[in-house]
Amino acid sequence: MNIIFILLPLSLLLGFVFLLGYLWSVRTNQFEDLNTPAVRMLADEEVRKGE
Amino acid sequence: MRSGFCCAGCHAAHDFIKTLGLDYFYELRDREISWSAKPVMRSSSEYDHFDDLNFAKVFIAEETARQSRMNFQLPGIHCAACVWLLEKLPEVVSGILQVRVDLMRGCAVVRFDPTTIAPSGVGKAFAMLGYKPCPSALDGTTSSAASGDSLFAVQLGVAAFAAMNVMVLFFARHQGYLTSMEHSYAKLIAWVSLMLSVPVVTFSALPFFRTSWASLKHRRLHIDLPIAIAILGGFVASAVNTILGREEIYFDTVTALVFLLLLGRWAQRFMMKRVGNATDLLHSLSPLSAIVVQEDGSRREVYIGSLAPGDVVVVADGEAFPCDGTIVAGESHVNNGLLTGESRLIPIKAGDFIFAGSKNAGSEVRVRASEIGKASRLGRLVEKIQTAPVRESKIGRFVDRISIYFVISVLLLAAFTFVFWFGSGFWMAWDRVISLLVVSCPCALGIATPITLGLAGMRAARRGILLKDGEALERLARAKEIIFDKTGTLTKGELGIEESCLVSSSVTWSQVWEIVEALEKDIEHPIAEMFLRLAADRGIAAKELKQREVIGGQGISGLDWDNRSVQIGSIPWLKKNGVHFSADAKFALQKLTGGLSTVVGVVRDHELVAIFALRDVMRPEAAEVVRNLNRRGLRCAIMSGDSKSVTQEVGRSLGLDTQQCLGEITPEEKSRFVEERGQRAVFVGDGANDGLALSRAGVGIGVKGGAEISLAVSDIFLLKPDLSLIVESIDGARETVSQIHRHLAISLFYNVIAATLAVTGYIGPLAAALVMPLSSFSVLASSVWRAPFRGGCP
Repeated sequence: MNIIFILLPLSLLLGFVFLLGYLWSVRTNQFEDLNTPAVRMLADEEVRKGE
Repeated sequence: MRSGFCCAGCHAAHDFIKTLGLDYFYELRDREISWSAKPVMRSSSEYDHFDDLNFAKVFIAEETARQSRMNFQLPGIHCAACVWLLEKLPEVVSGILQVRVDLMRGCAVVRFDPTTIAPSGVGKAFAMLGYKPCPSALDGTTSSAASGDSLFAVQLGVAAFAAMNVMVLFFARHQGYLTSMEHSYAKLIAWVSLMLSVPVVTFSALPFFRTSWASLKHRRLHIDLPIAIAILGGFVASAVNTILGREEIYFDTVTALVFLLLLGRWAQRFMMKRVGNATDLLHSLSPLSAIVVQEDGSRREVYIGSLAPGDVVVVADGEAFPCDGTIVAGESHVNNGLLTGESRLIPIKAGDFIFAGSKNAGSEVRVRASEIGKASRLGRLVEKIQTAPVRESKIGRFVDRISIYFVISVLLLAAFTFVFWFGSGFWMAWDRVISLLVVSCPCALGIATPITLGLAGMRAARRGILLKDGEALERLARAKEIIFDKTGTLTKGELGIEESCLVSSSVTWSQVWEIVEALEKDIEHPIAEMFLRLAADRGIAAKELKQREVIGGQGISGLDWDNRSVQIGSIPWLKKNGVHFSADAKFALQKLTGGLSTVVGVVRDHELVAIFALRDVMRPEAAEVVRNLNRRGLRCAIMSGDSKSVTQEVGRSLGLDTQQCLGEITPEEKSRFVEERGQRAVFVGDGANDGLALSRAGVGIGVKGGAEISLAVSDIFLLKPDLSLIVESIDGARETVSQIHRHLAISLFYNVIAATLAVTGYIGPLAAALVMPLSSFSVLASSVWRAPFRGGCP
């Protein structure tokens, strides 16, 4: 059962990585505008001729 | 779809979609935005003023040597097509690097290379697509609000991370409580939880500590105070116990508390509509550019900030005056509605003084500028509105008033508990006090109140009512009196036909309308626009005149398809032209000109054939709304800048007492009167002349249609010019407040039971961890179950 002393910090570390990911998305203003991206992706498709 | 297109791109897209047979898209779209779709007018501006150095100082941010940024408000965007079209600009116009559109806020950020394209080129590119770019000033307010939002998001994220992990650990710990756990594991969990809780208390919980500290300093009450005491007490005591190796720790309850409370705040914060940048107010009301006539007679468009007193500017028909000044040439009419609330057009000629923000309605005039920008009458009014002291709410938030009893009783009870249990040893008393502090946290209230308000705000927004804050709702629920502005609020603020009369037997109505349509076609004048709209409604076929002459401010004459002379215009002008007035016509005129309306005559073959009496028409729902408000126990009154007789007539038609209809009131008087009526008075208004009153009233309700200034200063903003929303707001507000009271009762009930158990020693960390969410969730369920502003009758 002593493995818990390694597993517990390890799981916290994993959680921390996700927290960092969240912080990154906040820092890069990805939560600024929650509506336009949903609309924008509708138009992203480019029609390329000859491909 | 008759309503017109926002832009050329939407028009093309519409045609394309229609050929594919997919027009259902428009039905879907119109259902959502029908009230905001308004065709955007093409502007004749060349955007030369964008290149002005003074303009650049205010509106253009230099990011690197080859990249600058401008922010635009784009009033006309509301669909995916607009976003797509605008964001494609960099591919079409060289020099524009990036366009990012924010659909909800209706604005765009444009990055461009100033070495390749001039700012005016950017403006022209937007105009080319049919959008009118209104630059918004680059001041700190928007970016600091955004950084405040992102700080809040980080605090919420950290709290969520810590609370979830601590909860998992405590599951194991509480399990171990019952089955007995090895001491080393319990110790590990305690220390890890302590480390996880430190950032929650020292960082995520800061907003609570900050508001409690401020409330202590200003001796104002706030619900955050008992919350802060619980968080701090629970954390410090648990930390001490961890260090000493004792059992009683509450990290799970404390972190979950912070997380849930922040979640509630988040709901409130993001569901309430953020209100626009106040510094753009002046710009939204008066034009940004002016056309200056130079010494040599040539015309140049300059930024308003570069205009100097003494400059002569040209103001075209239908445009707003950019500055206060004196007319030096030309004759026209002016519409002062925005500034004073007057509904009638006032004739102006050389030597007359005009104010910035009022509209030229007639023909082109030249004005010598005297006061510009902040020095103008409009500028001073806007400044007064902005510097208006923050309302000291006498009623205050009900929840906050409760908090003081909370704090006092909890602290007294804690002292009592400590003394009572001290006989059984210090640590016994210590444990009882901590558990009391933790369980008596009014968290249910702290979570449910913002969520109730947030849900109310979100649902209200869906109905077209924007709420600025929750306090406004509480004040609205207690309102006793509603004061209306007249022009633009009770009335439509635009001319309509009050009465029309055919005074010759030689013509039919459809012939009259054909003449009117042909004469008024393509003329930019409020009266012409109104006639054209009505002609289109009647399905009048367009016919071509052989010739046409427009006499500014007087009327229009021409030669019709059968070579007969036709005219439309003011009665004095027609008389001067030697038009024959039949006996019928004279009688009808006497009746109509006696009233308070503007009279326009239509002439064919030198004979007056029809008369229209025009006036600011009443909103159809106004009378019903007044009745409904009376039924809810609210008194109604009118305050207007318009003449007393017009105001009283409007009041009479709504069934109001003449004493309640005050006319000829200046904006300053209006705000004073409204302030005197006290906190229980609601003021409903739209124009800039109402701005001051809106900001001083107990509750200010702004109505869409007039100036956006009312958006910035009012507590509640109606997105559609529909007065019945006021009744709905009041019902919603009353329901919201009664729901908050119900939650308070539930929350208090739980707290009393929990506190009793804590004092008597029946509650430990495990029971606290169970009771706390129980109370919170029951209150939460109640707020989601019956949210106000359901809008029973859409």
